[in-house]
Order: sequence, then C-alpha cells, then structure tokens
Amino acid sequence: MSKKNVIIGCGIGLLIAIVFLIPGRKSIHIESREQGVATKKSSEKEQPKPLPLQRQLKRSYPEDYGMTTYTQQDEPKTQKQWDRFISKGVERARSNLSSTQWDEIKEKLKEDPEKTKEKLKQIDEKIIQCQQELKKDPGNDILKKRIQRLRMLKAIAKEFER
Amino acid sequence: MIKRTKKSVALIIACALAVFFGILGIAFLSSSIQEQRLATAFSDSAYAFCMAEAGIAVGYDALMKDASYSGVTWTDPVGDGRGSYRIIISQTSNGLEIRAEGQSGSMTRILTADLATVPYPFQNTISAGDDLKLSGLIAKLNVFGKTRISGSFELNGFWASGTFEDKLEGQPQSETRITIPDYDGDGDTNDFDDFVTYGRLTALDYDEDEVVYIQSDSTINIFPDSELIDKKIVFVEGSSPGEGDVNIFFDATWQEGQDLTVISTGDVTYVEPLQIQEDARLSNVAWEDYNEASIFHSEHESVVFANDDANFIDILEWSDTTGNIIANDDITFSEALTWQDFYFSDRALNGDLPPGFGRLANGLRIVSTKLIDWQEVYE
Repeated sequence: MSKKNVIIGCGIGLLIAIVFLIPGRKSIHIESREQGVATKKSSEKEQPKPLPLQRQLKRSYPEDYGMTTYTQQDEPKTQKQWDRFISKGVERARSNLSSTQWDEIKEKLKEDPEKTKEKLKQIDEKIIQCQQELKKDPGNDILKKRIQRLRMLKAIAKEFER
Repeated sequence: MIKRTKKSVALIIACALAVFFGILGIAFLSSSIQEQRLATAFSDSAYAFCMAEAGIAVGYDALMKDASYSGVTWTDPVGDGRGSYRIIISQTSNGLEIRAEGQSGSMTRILTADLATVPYPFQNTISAGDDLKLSGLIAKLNVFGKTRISGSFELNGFWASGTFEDKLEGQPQSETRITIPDYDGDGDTNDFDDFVTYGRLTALDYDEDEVVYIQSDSTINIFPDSELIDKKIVFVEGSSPGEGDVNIFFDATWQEGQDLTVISTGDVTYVEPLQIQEDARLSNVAWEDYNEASIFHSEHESVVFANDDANFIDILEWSDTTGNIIANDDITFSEALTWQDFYFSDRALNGDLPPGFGRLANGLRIVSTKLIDWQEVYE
C-alpha cells in the first residue's frame, strides 16, 4: 500500500470517528443538563448526617455561665441580703452587655419614681401581710416563696431606681 | 498502470464519501429522533411534576379535613388525560409526610411535604389541666387565641375581669395536659424518673456545646450572660422532685433569634421578664411550678410547661406574654393590681417547637397547618 493510500484511509477513519462522536457527546450533554438539578439536589440530600455517638452527659458548672447558686441554708433571707444578691447579678450582667444594650434595658424599665415608690410601699405591705400569715402557718412553703419573690422584686426596683 | 491506480483511488474516495455522507445522514436522523425523544421526555417530566404538585395539594387539603387520611392509589388520568398521581401518607419522627408521585408518559416525579403533628395544647394560648383562677382588687386579664380549661374558670375580686377571645371549660385533659412519656420504661408515664430521663435525653439530643447540664439540689440563678450564646438547653437536675429550682432574672437569651429552653426538676421562677434580643424565645419546662413576677412592664415570648401549677402572682405592672402557657394543674393570676395580655404564637403549632419540647410531644396530636418542609425526591 502506498503512503498516499494510508493517509487517505486515516482521513476517512477520522471523519467517521468525528461523525460518530459528535452526536454521542451532544446527547450526553443534553442528558446531564436535564439531570443537572436532580444530581445536585440528591447529592445534597444524601449527604450522610454524622451519626450521633453514644456519649455521656458532661456536667456543667453554674459559675462558668455567670449563674449563682444558693442552698436552703445560705439563701438570702433579709431584704439587705436580697439587695446585695440582685445588685451583684445586675452588675455582672451589665459588664457583659454593651452600653447601648444596657441603655435600652434602662429605657424599658424607666418609670415615674413616684409610681415606683408606690409599688415599693405595696410590696412592703404585702411582705408584712405574708409574714403575719406565715406566723399562723409556719410550714407554708408557698408563702415563704412569695415573700422571697417580693423581696427579689423590691431589690430589682431599688437597683434600677439608682 | 498509473491510469489504473488513479481510477482505484477515485473509487476509494467515492466510496469513502458515500459512506461519510451516509453516516452523516444517519447521525442527523438519530440526532433528531433523540431530540424529539428528549422534548417528549421534558414535556412528560414537567407534566409529571404538575401531577405531583396536585397530589401534594389534594393530600394537604384532605389532611386538614381529616387527620387520619391515608392517601390514594393511582388516580385515573386527570387534566387532559396525560397524567395521574398517587398520595402516600406516612408517619415521621416529627409528624406526617405527604408523598405525592406524579406520572406522565414514561416519567415519574416525586414530591414530599412534611407537616408537624403537635400535642393539642399547642393550639391554645392557655391550657389548664385543672382550674383557671383570676383574683385581685383591680385585675385585668386578656387572652387572645384559645383558652382551654379542663376544670372551671374562677373569678374573684372587686374589679377583676377576664376577657377571652375563645374560652372553653370542662375540656378533656388529653387536650389541655402534656404527659411525659414512659422514658424510664417502668410502664408508668409522667413520673419523676420519666422526667429526669426526658431531661437527660433532651440534653443528649443537642451538641455538647449547646447544652448546660447542672446536677444540683441548690437553687440556680440565671442572669443574662454572654456564655449563654448558642445554648439551646439548660437542664438543672435535682436528686428528688422539687430540688434544683431555677430563678431566671430578666433574660437568658443572648443572640437575636436564640431559642433556649430551661428545664428544672423543681420550680422555675421568671422574675422581671425582659426579652432583650429580637425574635428570641426563652421557654421553660418545670417538673413542679412555673412562677412569674414583675414590678416593671414585662414582655417575653415563651412556651411554658409546668407539670404542676403556673402562677402569675405579683405582677405589679402590665405584662405581655406571647406563646403557649400549659399547666397540668391550675393556672392562677392573682394580685391587687395586675394587667396581663396573652397572645397566641403559632410557632409551636406549626412545628417550630422550642428545644426539648419535641420529646414532650406525644399523646393526642393535631396536624399543623403550615408545611415545615418540602422537597423533590430523586430515586
């Protein structure tokens, strides 16, 4: 076979290859374009979520989260103790907040001082009333807790009044 | 000799050209047939998608009318007769899934939509497993949304009044209470060990750094603190019922949109609620009582669940609460001067339960109206 024939043969082969390859490739493109969204979505969906490992609960310590604790023995009892307790908590919270946030809070809690004084008077009356009832029923935990709550409220009002 | 060779080459070229054009013709033909098939497939696929959408709409409507609806098998051809659909309803861990398969020609498209199912009390603003009591010298209570009471509404006081948008008394407790499932596996529901196990499992549901787990019989006092950023659960576990009380002062959320739940084996007392962050939600779960008290105006968004009573006592200024208040026993509003507004939030009803409430969501359930998720499934 002459060199010329070989070149012609190769040219024909190449043409045939091109004719067969182009439509084939085209259809692959169309199919993948059709399924493009599907492939993407299903792969997103099928991403395996890491399996939760069997783990033990880790104990946390309240002080790590700015929390304070008290037991029945050392809980604040008098108004002075509650004032100090609330004052410390508010001080800690304030140091955590930005001055803008703190101003927002103060704005929200802003009240006519006369109105606050009136409320404080009401709280005092209620504390006396609850204490009298408690004398008659010393084991009444509901009353004890109510007195505590009233003292907390009084301490908050005093703290924000300043 | 040269003439013969030239003739041979011409013949080969002619043959090659004939083959080439023949193949080219076949290629064009096959290509146009393929295009035609693809166009039909594309059209069928779009039609099948419409069928699946129709299936979801039909399934949703049917579920809104009847929560026990279970779906349909392949329908007869609908529309212009080009497609049909079938609907399958199945239970998921959070609720129900509507699966709609649409078919047209050889194409099938599948859509799924999820609806939450939540306990009945989440459709109410206030749910009292026993009585609802309002007393005070000048007490005013406004409840927007549904109030459902298993016992009765008691009103005492000179100028005390309660305005309810929709109040029903004597309702079945299955619709006003939440029962803690038998998590300890002793055959009884709603006992203290179930509650402790519920708290621990809930804490384990979240990443370690989203949980504050405190074992203590002391009273824990929470103030706003930046260390509470990203926290979802604060669980205070006491050694026996009533131990491990929690007092929350002002707020415990620290980021916009933060969703935090405080769980206690004792009482939770929320003092001077003052939600600082936008769209945040601070919810509470108490084995015993939930108490709220404030001296200044207070407002917050919460889902509150008390296994015992919920007491809104010593509210000395008007307050706004948005969410759901659920107490398995009494709910009491009492003070000489109190003005409280309660607004319903449909977040929980629509499946956006606060952290930890998913594990309480058992018993009689209702289907949410809002889809919590939908997607196309490729199989």
